[in-house]
Amino acid sequence: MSLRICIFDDSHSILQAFKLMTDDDANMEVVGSFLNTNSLLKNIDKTNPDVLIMDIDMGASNGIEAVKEIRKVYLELPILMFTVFDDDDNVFNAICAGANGYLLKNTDPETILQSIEQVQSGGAPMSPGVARRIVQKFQALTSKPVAANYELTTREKEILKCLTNGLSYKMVAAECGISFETVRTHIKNIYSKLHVASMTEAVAKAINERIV
Amino acid sequence: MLFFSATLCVIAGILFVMTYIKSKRIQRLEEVRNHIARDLHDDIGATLTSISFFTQAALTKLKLDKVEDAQHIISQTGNTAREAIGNMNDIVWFINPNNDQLKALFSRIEDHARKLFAERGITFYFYYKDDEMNTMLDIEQRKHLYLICKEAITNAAKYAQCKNVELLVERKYIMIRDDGLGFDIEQAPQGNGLLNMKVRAHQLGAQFSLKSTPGKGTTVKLDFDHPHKR
Repeated sequence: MSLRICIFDDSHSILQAFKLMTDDDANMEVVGSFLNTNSLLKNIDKTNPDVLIMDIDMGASNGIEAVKEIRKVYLELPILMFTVFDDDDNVFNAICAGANGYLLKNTDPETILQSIEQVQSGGAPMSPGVARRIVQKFQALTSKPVAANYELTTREKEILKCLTNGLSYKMVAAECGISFETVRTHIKNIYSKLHVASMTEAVAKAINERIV
Repeated sequence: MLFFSATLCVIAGILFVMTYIKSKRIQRLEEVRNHIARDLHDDIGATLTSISFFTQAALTKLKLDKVEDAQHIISQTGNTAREAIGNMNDIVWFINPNNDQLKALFSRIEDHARKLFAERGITFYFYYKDDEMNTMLDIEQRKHLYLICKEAITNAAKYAQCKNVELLVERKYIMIRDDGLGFDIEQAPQGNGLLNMKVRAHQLGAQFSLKSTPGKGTTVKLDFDHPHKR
């Protein structure tokens, strides 16, 4: 079984180059090459890839927006960003949108082929500078002084933790062994203690300020 | 006293507005510069990446004794490198402040068109009025206008199988018309060419239209009279 690869890049020659490079590789096959992200989900559905390779700046299309769209439907499909841009905004936005790897276009061909296999088998291949950036960002986040704990009760913290893990109200109720209504009441209290108005805000605050 | 304060207020107001306008202009310049740097990086970066991939692919082919395939890829590498040189030329040209008049822009477009059409035996007509040609364009405007015209001209040369192409530059509009095969717009493959032309026209504040009928040629028109507001 060869690895099915789908590529989005607004450069004809990049698409062609990927095709040529995998031509004699029994382990890999380019099953889709697209110059933009029009009919994005339809094209993915049709080509049924194992790995996606995604450019960022494609004229009228943007690869990071595309990753967000894809993640609404395909939670697990490995996505490898492939771009010339290594600025913080692009790197972090791509990773936050759900990309699994981030390679710069100056990467040598062999490493790229290895990275495609890596991302497919659960890895997160990054160009060296990019990986360092992410580590630094992470360290900056975790070295922040711990903020006031907003006087959340143990139960409220537990529920907030569940929310940051992506659980729905129903799932939280099951997890904590309490009723749906009780979860709602707790969450209302959490909102008012954290001074937030939405779940996203609550989760962001919980993570940024290391409340949970 | 009252008059004095009022005068002071007016002067302060004028100064404030002037500073504001100046800072806006600097900000706009900065944006344009960033944009160009990004485009340059993205364009040339992608081309060089593909050249790096092509050489890898050619090496693999050679190892497998597929000499003909390798030759094909190497010649492709050459084409891609030349393409990059052309794009680089364009970008350097956009940046050069000596090229800020419409006249300079269209003389570049004309050169490009004549060369392309001559190779294919297509007659090229270029109509313009001299007094319209002094309009000044900034870097972004030159880039968008040039790339729209270049795309339309390249399409006519490569796909239309036409005999004649006209380029009309009027005060309110720019039109590129061929008498070739035409195509069904609904059925046309949605490449980036058409999409990019639309986006660029929008950024120029012009209305883009493409009319094509099978057998009756294609007309691309940029209308500055009914502009999209930026």
